[in-house]
Amino acid sequence: MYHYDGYDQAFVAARAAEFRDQVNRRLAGQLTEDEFKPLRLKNGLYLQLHAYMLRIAIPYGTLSADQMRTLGELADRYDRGYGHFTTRQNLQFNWTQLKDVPDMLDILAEAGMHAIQTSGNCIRNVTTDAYAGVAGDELIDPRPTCELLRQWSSLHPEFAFLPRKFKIAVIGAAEDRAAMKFHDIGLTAYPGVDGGRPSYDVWVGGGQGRTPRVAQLFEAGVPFERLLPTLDSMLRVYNLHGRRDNKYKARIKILVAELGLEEYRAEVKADMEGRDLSVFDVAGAEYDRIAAHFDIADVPAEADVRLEAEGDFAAWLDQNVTAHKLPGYAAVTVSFKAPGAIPGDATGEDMRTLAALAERYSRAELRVTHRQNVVLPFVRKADLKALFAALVEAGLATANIGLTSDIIACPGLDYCALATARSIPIAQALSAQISAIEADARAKGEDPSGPTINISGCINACGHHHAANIGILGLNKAEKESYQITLGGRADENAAVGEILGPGFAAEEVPAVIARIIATWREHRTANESFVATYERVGKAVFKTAIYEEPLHVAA
Amino acid sequence: MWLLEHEGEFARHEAIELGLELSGDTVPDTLPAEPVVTVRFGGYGDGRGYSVANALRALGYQGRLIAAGPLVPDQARHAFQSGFDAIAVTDESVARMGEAAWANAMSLTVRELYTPRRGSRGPEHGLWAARHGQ
Amino acid sequence: MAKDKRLQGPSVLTANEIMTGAIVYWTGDDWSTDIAKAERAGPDGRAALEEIARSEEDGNRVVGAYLMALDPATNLPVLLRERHRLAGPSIALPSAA
Repeated sequence: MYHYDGYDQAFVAARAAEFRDQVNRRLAGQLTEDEFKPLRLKNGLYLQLHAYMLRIAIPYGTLSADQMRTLGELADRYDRGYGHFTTRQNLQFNWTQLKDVPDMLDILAEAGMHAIQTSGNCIRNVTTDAYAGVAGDELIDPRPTCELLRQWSSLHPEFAFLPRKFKIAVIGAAEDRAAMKFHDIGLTAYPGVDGGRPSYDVWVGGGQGRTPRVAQLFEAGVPFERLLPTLDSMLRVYNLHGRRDNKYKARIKILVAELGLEEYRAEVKADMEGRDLSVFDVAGAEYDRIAAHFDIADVPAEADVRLEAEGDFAAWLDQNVTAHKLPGYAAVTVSFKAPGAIPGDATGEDMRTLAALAERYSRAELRVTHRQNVVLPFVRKADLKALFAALVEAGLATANIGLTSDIIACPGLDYCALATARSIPIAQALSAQISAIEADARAKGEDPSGPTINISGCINACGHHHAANIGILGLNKAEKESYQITLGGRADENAAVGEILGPGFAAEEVPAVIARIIATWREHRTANESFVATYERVGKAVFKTAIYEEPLHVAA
Repeated sequence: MWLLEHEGEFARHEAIELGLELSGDTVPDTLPAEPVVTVRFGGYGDGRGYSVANALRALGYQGRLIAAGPLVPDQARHAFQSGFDAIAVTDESVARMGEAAWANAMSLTVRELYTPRRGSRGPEHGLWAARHGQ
Repeated sequence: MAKDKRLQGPSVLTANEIMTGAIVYWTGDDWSTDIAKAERAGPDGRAALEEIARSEEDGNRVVGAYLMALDPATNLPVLLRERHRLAGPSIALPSAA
C-alpha cells in the first residue's frame, strides 16, 4: 500500500496546523459560524443532531494496521469508544468536541492520515473497489490512480468552492464493486496500449440523492497523459456552469442533464483547447512512483491449499472469503453486520483487534468496503482456519458478506442533522429476522443468498437505497416516520435506479413488507435466478399486488 | 480599502486602481485590454471567480488581476494559486477578521501543493516537481 | 399544521455549545444541558428569545441557536427531529453493549 514520504507528512501536518488556527480564529470571533462552517466541513467536521461529528478520510478505503490502531485510540480517547465505517469508505466519530479536533488531527497526521475534503463543496475522498489490487478478475490496480487523484485534488485552489460536493470513484475490473456509475465522475482503468500506465473510460453525471442518475460515458480510452487535463477541464466547466441557485440542482448530474452530454463534452473540449498542459507532465513519473508502492511482486508465493471445512467455518469460507490474484492467498471480509448490530459500527477494541490480525495475517493492510465492512486482503489460505478462530473469539466471524443481512444503513435520525427518519433500528430488526432465515436455509443445504437491502434516513441517500435490490427510504410524514420501498436498483456494472413500489409504511410494518417481497421473489424465481433478474422479468405489478393487496396485520 | 499582494505585502490604501471590473461568475469572451482587471466574487462560497482567473491566465492575460468580494483570509491561497496577483479587502473585514489574520494569510495556510496551476502566483513549487528533481 | 401548533404552545431556546457541541437550553440567564431548567416563552416571549439567540451566537458561546416548539399537551417537542434530538440515540451504543 501507499506510505507517506516526508512531503506527504509535512502536507498533512501543515493542514492540521491550519485547522487549529481556523478554530482559534473562530473562537476569537474573527470568523462567524457562517464563515467557519465551510472551512470546518472541508476538514470533515459537522455539527450533527447531538454533537460534532468528525469524518476521517480513509483514501480509497486502504489503511495500515498502525492507522487502524490509531483510529481505535481516537475512538477511546476522544469519542465514546466506537466509530462508524461509512458508504464512502471513511470512518466517522459521532461524539467529538471542537476543542479536541485539532489534537485529533495532529495524531492523525502523525499516522499519515487526515480529514481533508471528507465534506464540503469540493472533491471528496476518492473511492474504489475494496478488493483492488487483490481481486482475481482485476485488469489493473486502480489505487495508484486513486492516490494520484488524492494528491491532485487535496487542497485544490480552484475547485474548493464548487456548486456542490464532487465524488470520484475508480475501478480496475469488469465487475463494479464500487458503485462507480453512481459517482459524479467514474473511471474504469485498464492497461494502456503500451502495457504501461493505464488508460481510462471516463463516466460522468452519476449520483444518488433526490435525483438519482446512472453515469453516462463521457469518453472511452483516455490515455493516462490526458487524464488530469480532462478532469481539470471537466471540473472547471462544472465550477463555472453548475447551478448555484438551488442546492438540490447543483450536482454535475443536473448540469449534464440540462446541457445534454454532447454540449457538456463540447464545453470541456473547448476549455482544454489550446491550454498549456505542461504542469501535468510530471504526473507520469509521479504515477510510476506511487504505483511502486502497490507492487506486490515481493509477496512470497504460497502453495495452494485445499481446505477441509464444515459447519460455521465452511459457511464463513463460502461467504466471507474472496478469490485472490495470488495463488495460496485469499481476501477475507470481516462483517460488521451481526444479527441486530448497527451497520458499520466498530468499537475501539474491534479496531485494535483488526489491527493485530492484519499484522499477523494480512501484511499489516486493511480495507474498508463501501458496504461498511472491513477486508483483510492478504491472508494465506493456510492461515484461514487460525484467522477464523481469532475472529470467532473477537465476535467478528459473522458469515454473511453479500447476503441480504449484509445491510447498508446510514446513521439516520439517531445521529444525523439532515435525517428525516431513523435507519439503524430498521436495519437491526431486518438483520435479526433475515439472519435467522439465512441460517435456516444453510442448515437445509439451500443457497442463503438473496436481494441486497440498503437503508437511507433521508432523500440525500447516504445509505444508497436507490442502488439496492430492495431500497428503504425513511421519510417524515406529518411528524411520523414513514418508509418508502424501492425495488430493482443495483450498484454493479449494470447499475440501475430502483423503482418506488407505492405508498410508504410505518416502521413496525417494514419487516413484514420485506418478508413478503422476498417470499414473492422466491415464489416467482426460476432456478438460481437473482432477485433483480426475477424483478426485471415479472415486473413491479406482481410485487405491488403481493404487498398491498392483503393487509399486513402488524401491530403498530 | 486594503490590498494583500501575493508576495505578502498587506497595506491600507486611500485609493486603489481596480481597472476593469468583471463579475466573478463568467469568463469574458474576449481578453481584456486593460492592464488591471478586478474580478468581483458574488459570495464567499461562490468559487467561480477562481476559475475565471485561471481561464484568463490560460487565455494569456498578463496584466494585474485583483480579487474582490466577501472573501476570508483562508481563501487568499486559493486566489493567488488560481492566478490573482492581489486581493482587495474592505476596512470592515480587516477590523472583524483581524489585520494579523490577513497579513499572515499565506503563512497560516498550507502553501505547498502537489501540483501548481498554470498561471499560479504561488508561492507553491509543486511537490511532484520537487520529488522528481524539477 | 406543525406551524400552527408551534404558534400556540410554548417554546424554548436551544443551541449547541460551541466548544463541546453539547445540546444546551437557555435558562433565562445562562445555558444548561437540562431542558427542565429551560425558560419557556409563550407567543409574546418569542421575539425576546430570538434576540438572545442572535446575541449569544454573536458572542461565540453557542452555535445554531433556534426556538424549539413544545406541545402543551405532552410537553414534548412538536417536531419528530426535535424529539430525537432531545431523547438522544434510540439505540444501544456499541461501546455500551
